[in-house]
Amino acid sequence: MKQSWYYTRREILLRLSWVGVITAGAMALGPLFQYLASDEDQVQSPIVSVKKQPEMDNPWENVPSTRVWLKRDQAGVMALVASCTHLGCEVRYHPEKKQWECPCHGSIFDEEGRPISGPAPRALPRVAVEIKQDGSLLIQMNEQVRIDERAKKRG
Amino acid sequence: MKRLPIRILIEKEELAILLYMALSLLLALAIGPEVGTSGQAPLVGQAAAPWIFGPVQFLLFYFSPWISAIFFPVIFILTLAFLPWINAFIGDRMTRVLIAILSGTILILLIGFMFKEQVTL
Amino acid sequence: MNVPKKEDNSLKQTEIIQNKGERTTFISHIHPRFVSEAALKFVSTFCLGGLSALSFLVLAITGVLLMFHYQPGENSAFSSLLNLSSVIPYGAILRNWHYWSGQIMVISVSMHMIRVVWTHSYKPPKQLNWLVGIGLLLLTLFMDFTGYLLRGSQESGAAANVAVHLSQLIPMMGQPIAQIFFGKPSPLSGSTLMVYVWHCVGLPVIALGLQLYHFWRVRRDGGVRPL
Repeated sequence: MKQSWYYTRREILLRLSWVGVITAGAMALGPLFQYLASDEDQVQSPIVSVKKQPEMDNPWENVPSTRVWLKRDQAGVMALVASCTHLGCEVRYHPEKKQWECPCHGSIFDEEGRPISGPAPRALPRVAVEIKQDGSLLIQMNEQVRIDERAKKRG
Repeated sequence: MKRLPIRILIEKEELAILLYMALSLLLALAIGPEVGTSGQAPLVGQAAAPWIFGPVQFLLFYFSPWISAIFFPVIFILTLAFLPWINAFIGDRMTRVLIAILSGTILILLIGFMFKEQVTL
Repeated sequence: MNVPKKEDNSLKQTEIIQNKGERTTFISHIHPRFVSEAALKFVSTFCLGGLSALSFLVLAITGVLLMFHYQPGENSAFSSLLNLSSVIPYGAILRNWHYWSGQIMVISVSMHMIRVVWTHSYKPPKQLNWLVGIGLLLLTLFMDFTGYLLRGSQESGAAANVAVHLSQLIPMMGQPIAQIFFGKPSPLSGSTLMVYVWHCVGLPVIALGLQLYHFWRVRRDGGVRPL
């Protein structure tokens, strides 16, 4: 006896193509995620350059339009990034109190950037400074260094 | 006229979607449209527009801006818009002739434009 | 898909099948319950109306995705476009797909209009729907043009300036119209905020509204009835 099919050819083909479509859709999720997450159009330069060194023993000086503050002591030039180590707000320097204060949650750091009170867990980050041959400074925002590091000469 | 359940139409639509996606993606992968010339590159003299506006561009070569860009398009669009009423006057066959004339004119202007300039999409 | 079991289980197209017991889905619910057999023939309509709507859908989706990385404006449009086409992963494919869908839509909309005239489907009581269709044709052309301006290339700047000068020819309202539709394009870039908002929001929303009326009206007048 000839068996009668429950599904027609048309239905089987359509189901198969739907499986294909769903697979293609699932494969497109990866590229879609990559496309949306790409930040290649917002490259921020990790290098800040400053024309001349700060004067010896001056208070912390801000490099305009950045969070970088420079100071020079007997051992050399150092650079501090004024980002609170709690959640990243920009901290303000108060020269009269010789303190850094964070407006977001009240963290207070001392002159060197070490946390005195408030929720901040670590000292304010210091970053590497290089002195070029013509005397200008290159601050590498991506290279964190210890508090006692000073600028290195290059070139 | 037989009536069919909507499932049949939906199946045809699903097939059409599949075909459309496949063909248009193939086109997209194969040929990319130009980006044009950067504003920081040396000046290019040519004014371009999407190719579909070719007919108007072509007319702008020969007639005044008023005629080619305002009068001609407006008359064209009004003729199209009032087609149902024009049809009441001139009858079915002549309406088809009219639309053939209109499309033919656009096509001829478009081809003229394409030969006039180096067309970039 | 619950096909009722019958003795000869073939689903012949020419049979009218009872819809009893068939589950409806969201997709099937936005369609009418039945469709006439003649309307389904490819050569009656060449599926041009459907093709236009489908291109519009693809344009909307790719367009929104492109908005995540495109930046309008005199200085940023061109560079963000170059960025999209080269650096951003799959940006080039999305942009190309958006462009080709647009060209397909312009062509299919025009051919759909010719088909409608050829099959006399504009006759009373369908005149209003015909006018809505003409409106949709014009909107499609404007979306094409504004999209071209958003490239931010020199050619787009030239095109924008030509369009501004042409608009200013209109007596009395010329200058405000030019400002509303094109903003103040620079000579080197047609990409302005006005053009961007029109292209991405204004024109598509109006087009969507007209399309919904257009589809509904076809159904109310008895469905696609060529000849």
